[in-house]
Amino acid sequence: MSLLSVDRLCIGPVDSAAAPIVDGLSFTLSRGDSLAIVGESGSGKTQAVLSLLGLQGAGLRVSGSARFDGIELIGARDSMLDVVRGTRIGMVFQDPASSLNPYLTVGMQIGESLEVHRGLSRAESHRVALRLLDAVRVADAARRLLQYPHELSGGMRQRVMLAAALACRPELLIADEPTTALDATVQRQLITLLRELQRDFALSLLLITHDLGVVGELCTRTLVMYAGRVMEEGDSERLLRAPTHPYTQALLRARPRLDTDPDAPMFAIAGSLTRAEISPLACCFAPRCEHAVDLCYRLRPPPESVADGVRHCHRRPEDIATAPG
Amino acid sequence: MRPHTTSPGMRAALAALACVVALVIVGPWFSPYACDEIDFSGTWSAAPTLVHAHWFGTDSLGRDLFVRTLCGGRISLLVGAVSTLVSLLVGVACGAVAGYIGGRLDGLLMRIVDVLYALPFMFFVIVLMVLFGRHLLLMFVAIGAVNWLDMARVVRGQTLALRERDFIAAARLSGLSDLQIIRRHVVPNLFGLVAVYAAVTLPQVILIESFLSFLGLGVQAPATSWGALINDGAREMDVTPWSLLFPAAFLSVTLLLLNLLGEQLRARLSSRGGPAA
Amino acid sequence: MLAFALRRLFAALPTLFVLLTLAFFMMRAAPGGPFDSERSLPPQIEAALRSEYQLDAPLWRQYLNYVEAVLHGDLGPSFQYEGYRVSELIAAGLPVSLALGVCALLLALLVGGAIGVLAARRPGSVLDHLLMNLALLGVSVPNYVVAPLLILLFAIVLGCLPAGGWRHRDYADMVLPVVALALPQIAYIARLLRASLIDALAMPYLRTARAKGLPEHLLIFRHALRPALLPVISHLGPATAGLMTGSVVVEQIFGIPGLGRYFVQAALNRDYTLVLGVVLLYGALILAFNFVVDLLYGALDPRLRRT
Repeated sequence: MSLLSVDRLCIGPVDSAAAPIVDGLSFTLSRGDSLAIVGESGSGKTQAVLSLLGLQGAGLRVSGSARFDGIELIGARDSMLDVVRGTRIGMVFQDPASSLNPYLTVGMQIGESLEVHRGLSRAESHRVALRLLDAVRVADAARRLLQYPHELSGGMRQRVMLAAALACRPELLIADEPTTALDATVQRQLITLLRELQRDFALSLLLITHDLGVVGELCTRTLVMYAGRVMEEGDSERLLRAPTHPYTQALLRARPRLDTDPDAPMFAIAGSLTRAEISPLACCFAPRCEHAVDLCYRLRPPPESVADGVRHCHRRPEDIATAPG
Repeated sequence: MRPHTTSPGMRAALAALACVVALVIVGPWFSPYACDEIDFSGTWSAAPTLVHAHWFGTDSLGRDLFVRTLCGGRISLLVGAVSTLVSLLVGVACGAVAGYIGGRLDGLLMRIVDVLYALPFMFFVIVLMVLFGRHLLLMFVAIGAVNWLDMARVVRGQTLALRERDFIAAARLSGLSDLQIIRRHVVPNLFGLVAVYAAVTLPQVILIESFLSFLGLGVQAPATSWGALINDGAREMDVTPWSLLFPAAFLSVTLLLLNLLGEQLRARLSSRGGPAA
Repeated sequence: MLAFALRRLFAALPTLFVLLTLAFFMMRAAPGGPFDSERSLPPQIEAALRSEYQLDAPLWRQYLNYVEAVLHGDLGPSFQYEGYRVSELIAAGLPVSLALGVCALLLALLVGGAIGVLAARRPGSVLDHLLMNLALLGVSVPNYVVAPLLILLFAIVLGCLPAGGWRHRDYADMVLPVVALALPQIAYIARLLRASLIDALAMPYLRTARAKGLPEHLLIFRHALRPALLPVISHLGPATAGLMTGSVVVEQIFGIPGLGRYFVQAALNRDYTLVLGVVLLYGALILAFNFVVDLLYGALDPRLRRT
């Protein structure tokens, strides 16, 4: 049974007909499952998940539908959204340094949703916060509760963010690039932690990332976005091994690897993402695509079901299996 | 705020302000009465009327309030403009020198500004006005001397930023002296900022002038200003409320328009990436 | 924390000293003296008076004497009110001015704060525009215009509040002066808080708080208000100075026997010691408020706290 089903979600500026930031995003996430949304910066993935909780930036208009356990989230009033925000859906943001309130103690920020949603007293919420800090592997939790965010390291702050998001035992955790702002070693620890929490808290996970390395470890399914549109979606393991979309292929080739010749030049996708050039009537990746044919510039590829998901491409998978030339 | 060239609100404020200024300058000529002329035709404390051309009524001495309000406005606006100029000159000179030369001199000047900030300045002005007599000239200097601190701080900040720019380095390489560089290259580039701060200073200065005049420490009779008129009017308001209301309205509207203008200018400046205030 | 407080206190002392020196020499540099009046005194009496008040000593001697006296907590005898020490006169006027000023400051913070919060909730809404235009008007209309208008409306036309006076424990006397004194500050604080609150509500950590499903009052009062208060706190120093200036005219208009009225009288009568005493007191009060501001900053922002 699907926990979250997003259908043709569109986000665009209110006062202009400029290219939308998110254009027809659809996916479903089953209970207990995990989905990664992958794309380069500017592909609209962050605004897409923010809009699920009504947190999109000012001056943006959201249309389409997103149902969480049968509750429509798009266009819902704040009072409706507060039924799921923090209680059934928890959210972790990219930069823990600016996403934690510098003026409030860690204990307050972890415990406050318990006080609001569960009616706990300050003392009770602190006791739960203590357990939560243990759960996210913060040592010396009792002392940390009384500290302020600036007294913690970056990795510790992100653990605190996780503890606050998990306070009310949400069914779904949305994590927006949770490891991007952290050191490589801390990233590793956090990914391990996320996997454990996913299991211990029986979480469904919606992960936003541009790091394909994280995807395979955390999520069973992967959705690749480019310029606000879905490129392909499928089983993570299959998608990383045998991508069926030229953009996914290019992303995978652009990854730094240890097993290739260190002196060989890094592969980079030619061109850059320029929103002004995107035509509503063409494939948005066509201008940078190695395999683009005439049709790609004239018709937006319709969704095509494949064994384990969906792809949006005019070329057949076998035609693009090898790089041209 | 969007960086409009001119917003409708700003244009309206400018137009209204121009009307007030024009009225203050030209208005008295259209009245048959002079500023301190007493109308002996039995119209003491007359309510506003068209009959004797006392459009704003008269005060308890029988003087025409229309003319007095506008004449008072002339003084208030004049003091405002000149004192703003004084504070501008002192502030820009101080700020530009401190910011450009830097080092010890900068430290010293800014330390002085800090100390001066902590002083109860209005009281100094009051003492100055009382002790040295109520000349208009002294008033310009006293008020200007109070108001240059903000200007000096802002100008210094901007100059510090300017100093790092290439064209200043080029000027230095071409052998110009520090003073020449400040005069020819630094000050002209401060123009926008200074204009905005002058617009912000103007209402403050008019406020101080009318404050002093209200206490009887400003302009001396027979000359008058809005503050002095409000003081007179406040004494007689139970009998002749118009003698309070007209000057009060003129002063408040002028200040409101100036504040509106200053705010818009400041918003525009900060939206262009200048220092927000 | 204590060391920090002491350091700040020490830093304020030179400023007070500069203030004293500046005020002292400015007064003496002015033409005219305290015993000039319409009726000139016989020379020997004037000489006796000058000697009694130590005005016959060289200027530097007078200055040193005064500094020494001030260090001992004595502000000297009043020239105008015979037989009174300046400290006694200040002790009589200060409580009145302080009551007026503190009430006005509290009113300004409460009402200005409430207006700022109301306007910042929905920036760009009709309510916001209405409140902010009113506030701009409030900033533009000075105390000495507000005060007579208030008297005109509430005392003369409606007749529900007294037009002046300051009777002991008569709170009705306080209403109009306090409101007249507070209005410009209410407007200023409202504008200040609205701007900073809108900034604070756009911070990333407010998004986190919204994602937790917190109700609006917690978003504003727990998460956004604290950082938004910092500019208001910094404004406390200038606000105090503004209230002092305002109290001069407000006390005059309402006939309140406070320090502000003393001051103008003393300046007009060249009562050197009284003017100096009041200026020193005002300077010290402003410094004290700036000191309180520093402490409040530390209390509000945990990043500034020192152990």
